[in-house]
Amino acid sequence: MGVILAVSGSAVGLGNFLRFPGLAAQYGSGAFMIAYFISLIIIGIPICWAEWTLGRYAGQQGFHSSPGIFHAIIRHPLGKYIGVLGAVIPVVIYMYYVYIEAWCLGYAWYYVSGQMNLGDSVQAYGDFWSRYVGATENGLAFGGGHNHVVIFLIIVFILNFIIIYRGLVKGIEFFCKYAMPALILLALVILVRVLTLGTPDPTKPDQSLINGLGYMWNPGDVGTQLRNPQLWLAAAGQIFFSLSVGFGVIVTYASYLREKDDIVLSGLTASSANEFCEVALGGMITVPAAFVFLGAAGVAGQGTFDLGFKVLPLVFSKLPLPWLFGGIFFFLLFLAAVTSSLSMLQPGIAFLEEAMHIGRKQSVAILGLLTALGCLFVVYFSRGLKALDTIDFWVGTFLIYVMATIIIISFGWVLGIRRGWEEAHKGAEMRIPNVFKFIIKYLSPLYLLGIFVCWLLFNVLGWDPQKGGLHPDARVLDLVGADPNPVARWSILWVVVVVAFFVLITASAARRWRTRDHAPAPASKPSTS
Amino acid sequence: MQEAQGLTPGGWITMILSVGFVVGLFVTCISKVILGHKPVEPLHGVDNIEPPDIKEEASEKQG
Repeated sequence: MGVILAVSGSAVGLGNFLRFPGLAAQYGSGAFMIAYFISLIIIGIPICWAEWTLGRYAGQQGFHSSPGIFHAIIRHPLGKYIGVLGAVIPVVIYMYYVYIEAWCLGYAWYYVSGQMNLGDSVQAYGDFWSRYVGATENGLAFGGGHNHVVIFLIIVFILNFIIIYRGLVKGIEFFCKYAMPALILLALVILVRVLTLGTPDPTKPDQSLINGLGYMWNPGDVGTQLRNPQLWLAAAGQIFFSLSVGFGVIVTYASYLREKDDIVLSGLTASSANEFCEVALGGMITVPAAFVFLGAAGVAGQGTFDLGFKVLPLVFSKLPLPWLFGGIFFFLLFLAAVTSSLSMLQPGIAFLEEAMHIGRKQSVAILGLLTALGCLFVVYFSRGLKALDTIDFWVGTFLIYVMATIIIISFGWVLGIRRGWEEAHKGAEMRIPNVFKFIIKYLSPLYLLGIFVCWLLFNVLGWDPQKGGLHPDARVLDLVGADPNPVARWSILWVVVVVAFFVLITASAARRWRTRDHAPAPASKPSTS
Repeated sequence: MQEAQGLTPGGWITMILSVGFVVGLFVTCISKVILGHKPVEPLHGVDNIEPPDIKEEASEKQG
C-alpha cells in the first residue's frame, strides 16, 4: 500500500487540476476523451506495468537505481548509461518543479492571511503573479518587497529534503499516507462548492454551473476533431506526463518490492488513483468554476499557469469566504506538488547511494547541493520564465518521450514478452489480459514513435501541412536560431553538466557492478507495500 | 470558442462515461488492495474428522 500511495502521489500533480481540464475544454471533450482513453490503454497503463516489472526484476538482483536497473536488464556496457536518463530526468525536473511548488504554498498563505483580494480583473492577478515569480526581470525574485517567493522556496526545499532524508518508509510513504487522502478530501470539498454554485450573478444567466459543465464536457463535432493530429498529441501527452511514466520514478520505487507483491494490481491502482484525481476531480472543478465567473472568453486558450495562478484566483475572489476556498485549493495543489517532487528526489538519492557507495546522509547532501544550484539558476533567470520553460521543454517533455520508449522496448524486446509476462505475474492475483502482449510489443512502441514524430514535426519544427514549410518553435530558435537566447543556452549547458556528472559516477560504479554480476544476488530490501 | 449552452445529451454521456469509468476503476482497485488476498480455505485431513461415535465417547468420559 505504501508504494502504491507513493507512486500515486508521484503521478497526481498540478497537471491533474490545471492542465487536463484546459486541454479537454480546448479540444472538445468528447473527441478528447476518446483519444485520452485510447492513449491510456495503449501507452499509459502498459508503460506503467512495464516500469513496475522492470524495476522489481532488477531490484531482485540488488539494483535500485535507474542506471543499475538498466544495467541488469540490457546486459550491455551501454545499458547503465542509457539508464542514467532515469536518474537525470527527475532530478533536473525537481530543480524547477520545487519553484512552482513554492508558488502554490505562497498563494495558499496569501489567501489564508487575506492578502489575495486584488480586485475584479485578471490583469491584476496576472501582474501579481508576474512580480511574485519574477517573470518581468531576471533576479527579481531575490529582490526585497516582491512577495517573498524565496522564503516559500526555502521552506518547501527544506521540507522536501527533511522528508526524503527520513527514507522511503518513514519519509515518503509516511507523508503520502496522510497527504494523498487529505488531497482527495480537499478536492472533494472544492468539488461540492463548485457543484453548488448555480448562477451566482443573475444578471449573467449564461454564466451558470450547467453551462460551465457544458463548456467542459459537450463533445462538439467528434468526427472532425478526431482527424486533428494535435488533439491526439495533446491527449497522449497528457496521459504520458500525468501518469509519471518515463520519469525513472516508478522503476526506482518498484525495485524495492518483493516477488510476492502484486505489481499488476499495484500499477493499475496507482494509475487509477491518478485518473480519478484528473478526470473526476480536476475535470469537474477547474473549468466549470472559471466559466461560471468569467464566461467562455475568460477560460478559452488559457495555459496551465494562466488558469491556475491568474484566472482561478479571480474566481475564488468572487466566492463567499475566498480566503477559505482559495487557501484550500492552493494548499491542495501544494500537497499534490510535494508528493510529486518527493518522488523526483528518490531516484537521485538511490543512484548516488548505489553508484558512489555512500550512505543516505551523504547522498542527500550531494543531491541537495546539486538541486539547490539548479534551482537558484531557474529562480534567478526568471524573466519570461525562460530557464524553467527551456528545461521543461527539453527534459520534461523531450527526454521523457525518449525514456518511455526505452522502457517499453526494454520490456517487450530486451527482457522479452514471455519473460516479462512471467515477471509481471509473480505474486499477482490479477491477470493482465493477453491482448496486452500484442499492445506492449508492437502497438505501444509504434504509437509512442508516431506521437514522438508528430511532436517533433508539429511542436518542435513547426511543420505546416497546409502551406508546407517549417516554422521551428521558439525553444529551438533560442538555441540554434539567428538570435539565440543566452539563458536558454546556459540552461541546456547546465543540463549537460548534470548528465556528465551522472555519467562519470556511473562509469566509476561500472567495475563494482560487473563484480556483483558474478556474485550471488543479495537479498532485496523489505517490502514497503 | 464554444457558445454558452447547458449540457447536451452528448455532454451528459461524455461526462458520465468518463467520470464513471475512472471512479469505477479506482474503487475496484482500491477495494482489491484494501481487502487484500483472500485467505486460502484450509484443507481438512483425517485429524479434523470427528465422527459421532468419537464425540459420544468423549462426552461419556467427561460425564
